[in-house]
Amino acid sequence: MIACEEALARLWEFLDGELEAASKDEVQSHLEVCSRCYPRYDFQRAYFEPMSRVKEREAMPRELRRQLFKRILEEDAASPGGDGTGGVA
Amino acid sequence: MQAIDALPEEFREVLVLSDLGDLTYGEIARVLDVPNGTVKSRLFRSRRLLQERLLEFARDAGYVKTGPEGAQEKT
Repeated sequence: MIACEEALARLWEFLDGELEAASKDEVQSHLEVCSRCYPRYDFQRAYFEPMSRVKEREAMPRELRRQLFKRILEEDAASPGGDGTGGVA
Repeated sequence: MQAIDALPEEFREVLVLSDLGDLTYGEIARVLDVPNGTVKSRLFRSRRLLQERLLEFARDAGYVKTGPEGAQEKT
C-alpha cells in the first residue's frame, strides 16, 4: 500500500479524474483503509459541492460548457493582443 | 463567487477553467501555454486559498466553531 504522504499528494488529481488507472487504484485502496487520510479526502471533496451548485444554476450541459470555454480561449489567443486567457483573469 | 474574484489573477484563471469550465489539466496547459506541472501547482494552491477563505468566512459568520477544537482542518 502507498504511504499516506503519497496518497495525500495525489488527492486533487484523484478527485479530478486525472490519475492513470494504476495510480488511481493505489489511492482508492489507501483511502478505503486509512482513517487518517479519509477525512482529508472528504474535506477536499467537499470543495466541489459549491462549484457543482454554481454549474447547476447555469443549466448548461458539461460538454457544451467545456467547448465554450475552449472556444473562447482559442479565439482570444488567436486575436491580436489576445493573451490566451479569454478575459478569464 | 466573490471569494473566487478575490483570488490572485494567475490562480483565478486556472481555477475557473478547471472547476467551472471543466477543462482538463492538459487542455488548460495548452491554451495558457504553460507546463502541466504549472497548471497543477496553481490549481491546487488556488483551491487551498479558496478553502481557507471560505472557512474564515464561515468562522466569522458563526457557522463553524472557533478555537482549537474548531471544525475541520486548515492545512
